[in-house]
Amino acid sequence: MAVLESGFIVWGYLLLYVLLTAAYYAWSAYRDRRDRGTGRTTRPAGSAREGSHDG
Amino acid sequence: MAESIVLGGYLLLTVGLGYLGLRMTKNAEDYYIAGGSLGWAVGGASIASTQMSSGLFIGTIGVVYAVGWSFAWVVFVFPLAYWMMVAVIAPRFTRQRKVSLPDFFEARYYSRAARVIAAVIILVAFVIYISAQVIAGGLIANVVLGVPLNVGMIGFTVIILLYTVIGGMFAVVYTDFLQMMIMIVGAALAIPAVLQHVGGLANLFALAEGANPSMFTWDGLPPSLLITLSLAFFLGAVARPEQLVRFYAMRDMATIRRGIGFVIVLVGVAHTLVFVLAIGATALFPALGNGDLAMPVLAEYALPAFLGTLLLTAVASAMMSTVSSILLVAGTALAHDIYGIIRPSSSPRRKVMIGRLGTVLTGLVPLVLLILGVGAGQLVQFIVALFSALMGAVFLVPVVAGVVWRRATREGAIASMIGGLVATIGWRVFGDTDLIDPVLPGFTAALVLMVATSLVTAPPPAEATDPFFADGPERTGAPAPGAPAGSR
Repeated sequence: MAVLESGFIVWGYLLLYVLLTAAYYAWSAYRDRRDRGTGRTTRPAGSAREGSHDG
Repeated sequence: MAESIVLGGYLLLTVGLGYLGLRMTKNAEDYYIAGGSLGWAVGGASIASTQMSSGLFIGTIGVVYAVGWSFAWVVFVFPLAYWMMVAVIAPRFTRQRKVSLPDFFEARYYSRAARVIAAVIILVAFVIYISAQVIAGGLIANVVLGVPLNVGMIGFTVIILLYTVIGGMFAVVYTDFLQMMIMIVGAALAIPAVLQHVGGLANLFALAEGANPSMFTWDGLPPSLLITLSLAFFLGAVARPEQLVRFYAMRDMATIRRGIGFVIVLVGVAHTLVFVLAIGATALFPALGNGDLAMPVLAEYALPAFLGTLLLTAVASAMMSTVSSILLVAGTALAHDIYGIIRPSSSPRRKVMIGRLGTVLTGLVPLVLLILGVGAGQLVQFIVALFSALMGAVFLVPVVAGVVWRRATREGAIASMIGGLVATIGWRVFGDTDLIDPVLPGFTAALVLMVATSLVTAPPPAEATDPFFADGPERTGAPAPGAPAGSR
């Protein structure tokens, strides 16, 4: 079965990408917790509007 | 009929989002950076769709068709590059909310000259890059709609200009979001149709391997070449002006981190879908003379009319999302960073008007030159081939040094930008580009010049570096909320 024999070059790629994404989200969550814990404001100074525009 | 519905609906939605942007734009800060109010979903999708140009749907699929899946591993540079951007660059880069990369250079390097040099490099490189995209847009219109090339180029430019000029950054990011979703949906819906043609996933892999024996081996792109190529891609991806400005457009650091997470997911999903389509093209059309034809051929001959048009709309979306972002950044360089210095304006309405005028000019100049027959030749190809390398060689060092090395001086930044530019173009002209990508000598020259020049010149004044390096809460040292954008 070529689909399985393609092996690491395909399935390793997919697995590594998922692991890398998970690692990023873990790091991001850690930084969020750390910022909240230290009471840091993460809002940049300037004239940003209130509220989000996520459509 | 199906083609008209898909294309017509897409164009209507795009222009409608431009109108929404117009309604939301009240001042120059809205026009250039969407008022700094973007959330993670729109901001992230906008970064991802700006990164994915027509190169993904035409060039990348063609390379995978030709050399096999080993090329897919280059994609890992993007999550790593974005992670570096958000971990290393963004926290200090966004401490003061600016509206452009040249703006940041002026503040951090206490130098208007650094700002103008960066703006001129952006303007020239981006305008020439846009002209190549206009030719590609005209060709797609020519193939899909059968209109003459010039009419296609004019239509392509007018549509992008329409929503970018009237709606500014709001229109650009909302259309980016729409275009990103079309790219994912278009590619995702095409895969079941391809699987149906070949008789399932197992057959797909077997047929592709039969057609191209190196499809699932490292022979197509040996690891040594893969590493060199990945390094060049990485250096070209980290400090792109059109990406960095989105950090100013997003609300805060937590939003930027969440947005970059979304970028990593979207980049992975979109690229993987395109790689599977490349396997499909290899299995179904193993004898294409040119890999760049893989996507158009797949859309034309392997998919039903509706899906084929949706896939070609995804290609157009990839192109338009990149061009509109580049157009806005080039327009900002002209209107805000060059004209804004020569004739500062205090009226918010006038600032927006000048911003729109800058975008119109940067969009029309390449079109007019192309119609007059200027710039369609080697210069355009030369710059496009160099574009990513130029971004890495010119901007990466002064951006990163500006946020990690307090001792980096304005003389170092200027020497670094000019040295990176000269070394990259010099290597492209005189060096062996098959052996070493121009970004590597360009980046090395920029780094050496930044360090050496900074060390032999007077240290930067504390008032320039304190806003970016001083201890204390993140993002302090900027003007009070409500200050007009141009005053920063």
